[in-house]
Amino acid sequence: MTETKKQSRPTTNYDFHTDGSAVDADHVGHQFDAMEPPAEISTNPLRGGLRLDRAPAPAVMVIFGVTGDLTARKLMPALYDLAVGYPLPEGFSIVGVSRREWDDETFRNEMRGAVEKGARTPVTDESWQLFAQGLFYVPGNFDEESTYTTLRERLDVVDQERRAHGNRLFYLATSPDFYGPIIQHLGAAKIAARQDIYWNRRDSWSRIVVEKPFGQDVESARALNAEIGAVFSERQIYRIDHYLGKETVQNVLAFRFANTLFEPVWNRQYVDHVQITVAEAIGVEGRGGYYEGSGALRDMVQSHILQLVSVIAMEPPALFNGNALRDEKVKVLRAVVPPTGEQVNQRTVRGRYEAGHVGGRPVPAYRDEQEVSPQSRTETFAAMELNIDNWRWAGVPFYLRTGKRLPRRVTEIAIEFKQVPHLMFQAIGNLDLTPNVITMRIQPDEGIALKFAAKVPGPDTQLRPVRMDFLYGQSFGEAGPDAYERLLLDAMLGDPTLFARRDEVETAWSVMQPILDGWQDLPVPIYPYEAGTWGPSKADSLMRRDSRQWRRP
Amino acid sequence: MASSVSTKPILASVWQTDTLDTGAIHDELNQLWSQLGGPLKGGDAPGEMVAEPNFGGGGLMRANTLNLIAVASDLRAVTLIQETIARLRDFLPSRTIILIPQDGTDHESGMIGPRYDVRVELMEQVTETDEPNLRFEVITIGADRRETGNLASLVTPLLAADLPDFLWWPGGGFADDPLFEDLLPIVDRLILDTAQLGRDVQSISAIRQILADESNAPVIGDFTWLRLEPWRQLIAQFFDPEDVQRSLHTVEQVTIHYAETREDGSAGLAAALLTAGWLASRLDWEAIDPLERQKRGGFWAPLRAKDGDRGREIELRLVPDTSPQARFSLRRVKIVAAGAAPGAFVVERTDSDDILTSSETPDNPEVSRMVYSRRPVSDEMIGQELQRFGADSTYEEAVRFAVGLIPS
Repeated sequence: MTETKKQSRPTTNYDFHTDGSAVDADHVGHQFDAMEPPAEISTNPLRGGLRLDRAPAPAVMVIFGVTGDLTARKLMPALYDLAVGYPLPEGFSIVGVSRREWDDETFRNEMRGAVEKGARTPVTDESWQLFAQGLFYVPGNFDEESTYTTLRERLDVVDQERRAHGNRLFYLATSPDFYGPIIQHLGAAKIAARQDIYWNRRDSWSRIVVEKPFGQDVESARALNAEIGAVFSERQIYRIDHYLGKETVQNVLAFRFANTLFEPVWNRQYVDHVQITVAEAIGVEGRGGYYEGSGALRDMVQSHILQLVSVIAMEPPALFNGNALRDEKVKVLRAVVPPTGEQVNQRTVRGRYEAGHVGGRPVPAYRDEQEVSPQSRTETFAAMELNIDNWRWAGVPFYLRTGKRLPRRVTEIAIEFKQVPHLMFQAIGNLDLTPNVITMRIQPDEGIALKFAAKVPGPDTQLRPVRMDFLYGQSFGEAGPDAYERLLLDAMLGDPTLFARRDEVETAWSVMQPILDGWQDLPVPIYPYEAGTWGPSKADSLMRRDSRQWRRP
Repeated sequence: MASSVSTKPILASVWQTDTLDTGAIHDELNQLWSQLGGPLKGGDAPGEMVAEPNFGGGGLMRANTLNLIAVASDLRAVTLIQETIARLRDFLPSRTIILIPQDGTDHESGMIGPRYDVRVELMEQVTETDEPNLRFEVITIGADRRETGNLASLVTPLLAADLPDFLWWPGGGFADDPLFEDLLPIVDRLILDTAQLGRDVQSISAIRQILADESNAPVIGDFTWLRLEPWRQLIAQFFDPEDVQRSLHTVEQVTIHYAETREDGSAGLAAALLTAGWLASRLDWEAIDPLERQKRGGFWAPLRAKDGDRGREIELRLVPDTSPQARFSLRRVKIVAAGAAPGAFVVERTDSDDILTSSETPDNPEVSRMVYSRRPVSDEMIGQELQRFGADSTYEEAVRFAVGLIPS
């Protein structure tokens, strides 16, 4: 049977990088949707009509770097909520791997503290005891073979005792430096099996979740992808960007593609420009060492903001599934025209915060933060204008900005529309009309607002802009599950829709690369801005040049 | 953790009348809203007219979601509805109309009082977060029972336009109630609690009458079905692995333990019947004979799976839990499979917060776990029901099967 399938394998199964180099589509995952049913469809007749109509198979999740901050703050509380809130099946188990010389008992005790602090579901002795029965710990260095020998033996035992059926979800919660060694050892020790198109889905599965950063530039991203791809096929790789797990980001898709009202005006004919702001009030929060090697562009723009650009600008996918959605996102990214050469100076701004006040508290300058060089050349603020060269968006600038130590934490997308072609009220005079704006607030106060003109009551004609607000919290009550909860469940279900695909990551880096190069090669200054302000004034001139201005979010 | 929420009336108007003019109610509502309108402040752009920080005046927002009609057929229901509305946090109706059919005679004086008591309120929900406070309307109409026949015609013009209309009937006695009959055609969704139908197996067939008229039947939301959600999830989860799914084809016995009578007068029998109906309809079983009452209490019925030439018999047992501890509508569900794919699968509520599951098959060692599943209270359930709009065909199929088990 396998032979027959192999003979029918397409020979033109290739996709292309933006630089024209070919990518094996088996790595990319194209075409497979039409060839086999989605992984999440259940054959269990009792699943029909249930709120959770998808259920993951029993599995063991192996977390590398389990003693780190990410596990304590995000992963373990989310896993406890999933297990005790019953989307996860009986026997679901977690094996933590890290360098500390812990044993199972120590691991369980440490994790209880983390879960009590971060989980939504109450922790009782009884519920914890039953959850903790599935927690195991393997100490060891990530670059030593013996660690993986021990891990394999432990997994075999857990499979037997906890009926995990050999299903494994690997999670890299380590420094990116360890991604390569871990993946190589997983392959060499035959803990992870490559599952390509010929994989029988009745067999046990293994998948790997990779945290960002997915590289530092195009080259390193490709190298990382090649390294992961040597052991895992693209269908097994889940690159996590927690922004896509946010309900409000997914609601952008619902807003655009589940309503007839907005899509007809969602194009260059009606939209004047788009603004995306991802502002943080916090500084580097003790992660100065990491941030020094990253900066605002790599940390935020290449990942989160380009994700937002793609969901705002993409064409409607035919299906809401892994490859249909991601195909459209990649198409948009490929149409993005980044500034190159001298344009980098004109269409991008980078900044670095100086001492100031945020929320009434004095805060130090970036260069005075711990683990930050006093001569640092890392930007804490980035603003830029991107253009998308396609039929829908040609001529519509996308203005992006992100920064640390801005006045408040806010992420929003604003679609600003053109003025009406003819204003019949013009003769009345004294009209102060601003254009229609649709604002999608991703966080906080998640919701959607529409600004439009209305007549002020009275005998004379006075028009004023008013705002119509839809607040998630006021319409649907409490927020849904945490983004990690959603994404971990999706990874266990084998649903990659909300994860970044290889070509998506590499294309995003391709968009950013000319800017990175320009900032390195050209004399592009890093403009200082006072902490607690909306960035350097140079960012304002970026828009003023086009007779536009940043919104005050 | 959830932020704390409190809801209270902020403005109200009360009057009694023999002739109810719905226009007067609208006028009164408008008057109350205008009393709340604060000065508007500027928005982001020059001249922008936006209330601070959201429109509605003074950091307030008006709910704009749905109409809820709630009928209090007795004093207990009045309290339940009012307390539930005050505690609602997940999904607030724009306008709630509470109807209270009442005795119009003043018992002290023996005089016949006004035919209608009307109370119009603006409620405000305040959270500890910096989100704007949310305001919504509650219209309470106490009507002399002589006027019950007019109530539906009064309700229709009071419904806010372009919003879905929900009817919540928290009591059990809706069968043959003329007000229920009148309101049913004007709503999109009916919310009830079949547990309130009691332990009389016949009374549960009342739900069948509602579903009988398929073209006009409203979509039904049932608190009892909602309470069964975790049970159904956990039972289904046993059979997600494909090797365990084979046991679904060899089930020989289903035993459901339910509370005979709960403190509030409701019973677990409806939950037990719905669970049996759900399993049977999903697994394509049919009833050989209707339920047979057992001497020691409870019921027994033979079912048949339609697979194979002769089918396979399944024993259904509904066992009442009459112990003083019987606090939960369902106490325990046990599914036993035999033959080629044997196994035992148990879901059991251990207390008001937790459910214990355990399962065992020859290929899989016994595994137990505790899941957190706090019994939902009325405001949580109504909050969830108000967010659902579509029909639940799984529920309707379960009801049809369950009603088919009831002896004629």
